[in-house]
Amino acid sequence: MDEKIIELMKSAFNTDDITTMTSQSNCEKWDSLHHLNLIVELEDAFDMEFEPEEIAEMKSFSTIKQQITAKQGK
Amino acid sequence: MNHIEFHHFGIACQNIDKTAEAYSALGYSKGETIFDPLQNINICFLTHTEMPLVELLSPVDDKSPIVQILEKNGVTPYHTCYVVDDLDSTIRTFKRLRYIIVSKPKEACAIGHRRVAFLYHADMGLIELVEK
Repeated sequence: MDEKIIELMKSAFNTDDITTMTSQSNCEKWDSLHHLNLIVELEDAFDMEFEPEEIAEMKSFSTIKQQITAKQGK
Repeated sequence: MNHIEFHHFGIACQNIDKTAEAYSALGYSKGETIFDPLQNINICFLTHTEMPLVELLSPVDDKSPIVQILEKNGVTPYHTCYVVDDLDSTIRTFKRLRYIIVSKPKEACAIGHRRVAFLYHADMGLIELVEK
């Protein structure tokens, strides 16, 4: 799952400089517009939908993974 | 597709008075500026007898949702707004068209407390839906 998320982040933010430590605070290209594009791609790739409150919290690799893992567990 | 009508353009700006003054050169008239606590922004509608309604949005503090886009782009178009008959039904339709819900339906004090929601599509950008 890590690699899949990282590839989607690379594509959404148009940069190869993405790791499991990446967050909005340390990624210059992670602005609000690219954030929404990433959410669209994550919904497609993992076949799930995120609530607005979840979208607002998904501002790092780790919180994205947490949200996806939680939904897959339901 | 549910019935839908254009309502206004939303323009993000730092200073409503200054941007309204610029629009006045095009013949727009400035309405009252209202603080919207749900969105944490100031809102002001500009009207024109022959041109579409314009909504100016300015941040209240650094937590306002338009802060990032203003830092990146300066004064800029932010969203387009459409009137729909049934907000919940339209949202369900749009979700099937790959829109994501950015903000769930809530009452908008600047539009007569009608219910509004914000949705995003990767190929269209941000839209606001307001219930008739």
